[in-house]
Amino acid sequence: MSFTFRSSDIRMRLSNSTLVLLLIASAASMARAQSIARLPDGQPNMQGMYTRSGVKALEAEPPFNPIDPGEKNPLSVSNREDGLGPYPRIFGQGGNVLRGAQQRSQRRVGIIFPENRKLPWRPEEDAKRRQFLLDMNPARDLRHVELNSRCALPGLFEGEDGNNPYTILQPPGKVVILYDYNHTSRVVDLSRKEHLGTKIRLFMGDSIGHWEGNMLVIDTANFNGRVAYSREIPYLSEDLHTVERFTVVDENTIDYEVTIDDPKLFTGPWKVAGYFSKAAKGVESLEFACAEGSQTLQNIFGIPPTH
Amino acid sequence: MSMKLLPGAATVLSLLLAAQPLSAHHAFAAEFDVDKPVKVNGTVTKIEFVNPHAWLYVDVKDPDGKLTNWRFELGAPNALIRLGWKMDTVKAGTDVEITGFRAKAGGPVGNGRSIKLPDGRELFSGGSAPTADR
Repeated sequence: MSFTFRSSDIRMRLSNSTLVLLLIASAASMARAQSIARLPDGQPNMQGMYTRSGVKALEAEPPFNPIDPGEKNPLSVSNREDGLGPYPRIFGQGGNVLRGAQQRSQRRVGIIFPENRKLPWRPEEDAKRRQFLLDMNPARDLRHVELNSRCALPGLFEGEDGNNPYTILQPPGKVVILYDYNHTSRVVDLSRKEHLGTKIRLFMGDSIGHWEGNMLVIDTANFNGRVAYSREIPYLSEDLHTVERFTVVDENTIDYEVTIDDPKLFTGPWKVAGYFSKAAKGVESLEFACAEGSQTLQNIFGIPPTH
Repeated sequence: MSMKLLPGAATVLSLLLAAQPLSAHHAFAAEFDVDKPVKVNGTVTKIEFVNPHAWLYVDVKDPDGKLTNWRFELGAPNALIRLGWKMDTVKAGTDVEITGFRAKAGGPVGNGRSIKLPDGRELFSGGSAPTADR
């Protein structure tokens, strides 16, 4: 016996064995979803320490980036062949110490919409962005020094994935995300339905959320226009609006998806996927005070600029 | 079969095994000049485990005997600790050879890419220098 499904452009035949496998996979997925523990206030329990992976927005037609550490940048040490180039590969192979067990190949990562990874930049804004990057090395002024070097809050996306874990807490009616990086925190209100007044502008934005089954949906607005998405997208406007979806897959894994809507810079929304993986046993959140001892601006400009 | 490692070898191994991908706290190329590599031999005067980067200070004697105190950026304290460094991994008074790159603003300042100790061990410091697999 076989089953035939017809859609507008797809005809698919499923044999008995395929159908059985599908049913088993579906049942396993449902069982996993049902097995996720609930907290007293009804939230699916996603508390714990995680690392985040895959949320880089690697564009199909990336700009030239003079602060990129990679080989395409002649200003990077990566091109040196005199022994002073990048650290040996083995130096970067202990990541499992910090990372959890989740494998990247099993999850969706990077730009997922548009599928061709060409972000819908307004042409004039893309040109401005590309010029802005050129002015970052040598840095034209303080504004052209990346957020990390200024010890500014990173916004939603510049959390140095791989180096610094995230801790998720769920007090009643809220979700709190603590970044190891630079003592950043987000408090997501699950009861509020509307954002703060438009005059209140924040580096991390104003986040309100709700649960749809095992998926936490966080809507964030009221950004201050000073945050970056990445080194290649060095700023976003104050009109940025994001919708993040955290899907609790199992006790060790959260799938992540974010929709970026910034009509000042883009003609339409775009989406990036990634995932949170429970950090390895024994990983602790460590102090990352940034501003106290930073000498970066002194090393770039000589005398810290006053603007 | 049991395996014994010399103390020095064990330390180096632990530094390597504990290593993690170090995407830099900030862009190396914006702060340090890749066209100005520097190598100095000197004596450690102090190490500061401060955020966002630790700093190693070294007295370097020039050919006419004048001492200059250089400072070299290392990784963030939490990165160094996760790499296996300890507060006393490099003590004041230790003779070291440091290789790195000078700061764009000039002066006796650099990124400390690697540090050779008198016993031959070479320590990688993280800092904002990239790793090969980036």
